[in-house]
Amino acid sequence: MIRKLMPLFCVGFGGYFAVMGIFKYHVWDKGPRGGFLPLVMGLFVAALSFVVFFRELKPAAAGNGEKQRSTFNFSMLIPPAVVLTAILASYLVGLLPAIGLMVFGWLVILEKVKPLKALLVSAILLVAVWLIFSMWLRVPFPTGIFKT
Amino acid sequence: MDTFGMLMNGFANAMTLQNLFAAMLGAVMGLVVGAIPGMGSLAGVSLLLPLTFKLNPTTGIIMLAAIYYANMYGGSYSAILLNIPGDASAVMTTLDGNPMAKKGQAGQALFTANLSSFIGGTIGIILLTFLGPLLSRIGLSFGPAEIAALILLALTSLGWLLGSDPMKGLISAGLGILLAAIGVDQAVGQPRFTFGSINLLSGINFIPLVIGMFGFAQVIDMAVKKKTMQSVSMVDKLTLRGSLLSRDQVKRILPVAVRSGFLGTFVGLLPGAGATTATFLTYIFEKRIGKNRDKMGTGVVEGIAAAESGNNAASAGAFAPLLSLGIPGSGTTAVLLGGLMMWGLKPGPLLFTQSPDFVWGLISSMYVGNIICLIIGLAIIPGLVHILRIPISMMIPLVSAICIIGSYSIGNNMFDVGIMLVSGVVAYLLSSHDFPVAPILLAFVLAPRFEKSVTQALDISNGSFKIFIRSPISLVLLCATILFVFMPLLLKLVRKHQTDKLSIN
Repeated sequence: MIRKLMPLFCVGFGGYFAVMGIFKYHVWDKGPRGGFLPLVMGLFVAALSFVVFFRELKPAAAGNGEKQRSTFNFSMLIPPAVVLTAILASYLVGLLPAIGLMVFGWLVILEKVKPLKALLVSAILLVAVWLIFSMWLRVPFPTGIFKT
Repeated sequence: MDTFGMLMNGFANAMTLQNLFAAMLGAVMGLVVGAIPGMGSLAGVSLLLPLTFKLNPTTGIIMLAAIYYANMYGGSYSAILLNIPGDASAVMTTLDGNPMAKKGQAGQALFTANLSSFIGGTIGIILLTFLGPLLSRIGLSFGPAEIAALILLALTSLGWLLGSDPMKGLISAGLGILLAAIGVDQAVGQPRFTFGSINLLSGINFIPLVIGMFGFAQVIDMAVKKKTMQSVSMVDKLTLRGSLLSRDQVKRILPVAVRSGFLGTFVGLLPGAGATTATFLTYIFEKRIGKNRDKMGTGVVEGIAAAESGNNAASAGAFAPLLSLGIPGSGTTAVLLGGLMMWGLKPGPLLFTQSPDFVWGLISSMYVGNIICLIIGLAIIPGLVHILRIPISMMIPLVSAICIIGSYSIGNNMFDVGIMLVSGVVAYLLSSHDFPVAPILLAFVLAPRFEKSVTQALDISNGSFKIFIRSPISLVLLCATILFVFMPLLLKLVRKHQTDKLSIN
């Protein structure tokens, strides 16, 4: 099932660009216009993805899909979930503290690293980031509610 | 001024304290990142790209180039000591490198890898010095139709299609072109696919996209494969003295490294081929013609020399089409192309005449950087065991943090961090379903130029597609494209036919 979702996603993605290319942007006016490339490439992607989708429906490929499903690993969801939490937290506490908390929490809770070691690693990372990005590259990091 | 004079000028430019320091820093970072199992040059260059933003273009690209080829050196370390290639191009190094380490010759294997990388890299840079200007002169005769045909060839060329599924490679390239269509259309100034967001008016930012697709997707991959990746080096201690090669070993390495250097460079020149293809070809070539071919795969220096010389030579060779035609030879050079564009430079036939200080400064710095890489590569041998002991569990949150910081710092915008997150998840899902991700990046970088060239060509011909077959260069390039697209399918059919025949017999 999962194996079939990716080609279907690509069909939808290509199809959307092709449809928008025709109906929203100009395709041709004595030469190609803004909708030309999205139309051509959208159709190309959608057509190839359709072929891949039907190929995945074949019994041999379906067997492969079952294997994929049985080996689906929920740990793939952890990094995006943690990073998303850090992004949201940055609006509250600022980006650098959010990243420090993310690394510390990740190491202690998910990777079972001793709190003292995790604290040391997070502190070293934050100092390095502050020196390189804030001091050297002059990047203004968001400060959240601690705005001065 | 002739090539030699330009090169000397370049050396004067490259030997400034700032540029030397940039090359040295890039070499150290590239070696360390390359040595970390599972990172690879693409993820390494993508993650370290933001560090070069505030440097001037020449210093920035010198540092990036040093990171790139130092990664090639570093990729072999985990291949030899842990049997885990740091990069796809180091896969062939494991075949002889790890058996040598198991025999107690880990030091010699590392020394061989460094020496061969140096020889291959030097051959590649020498050929780049002469072929770069030559290619740019050829490139000057290219009009919009020829450029469009050349880009099409690069997008569909053999390297990408050597993967398990050519059709999925083509879909990936198509997705990259569609992603590049987001933003204001350069021809008529009309916003496309922006969903009303002002953040998308200038298109998807290249850096967050690349950090997500290669850095963050790698993090997800590491999180999934964490348990299987935690292997420990079979070597506890390494010394430089114990790693020195005997005279006989050097004699065996030299001819192999030189042969592979030339072959690797020519593979690197092909659009889309890259270091991975080069290392496979040079290893197979040596296995066919080498004196010690029967023992290759059991832990002999020839195997390491062929693979390492080949991949470093290809990395240097890939700079020729990148600088002179604006066509990246691999995923990593596509990142370098993105970096060049970010600094306002336009790689292509005119780069050699319009920005000679930049081009020759870069080429000269590669000679210097290659020597720096060799010295640091040898000096780092005793400390390698410690670098390789950094646990994957520690790497995952640290690399994630770098992904967030790197993608934020390009535009000081949290929207870019969101782009990084989404592109990382999508790239992971695509690659775990056998869709190669590198073509998306290559297509994304080349698409604006492709669209512009196609539009210009069709405007010139009043909308007639015959312009693409009227020019002999364009016709040859289009024929090559068709050949590259259908060759893997034909080969598959031939193989299937042969297998069927054998099973009937």
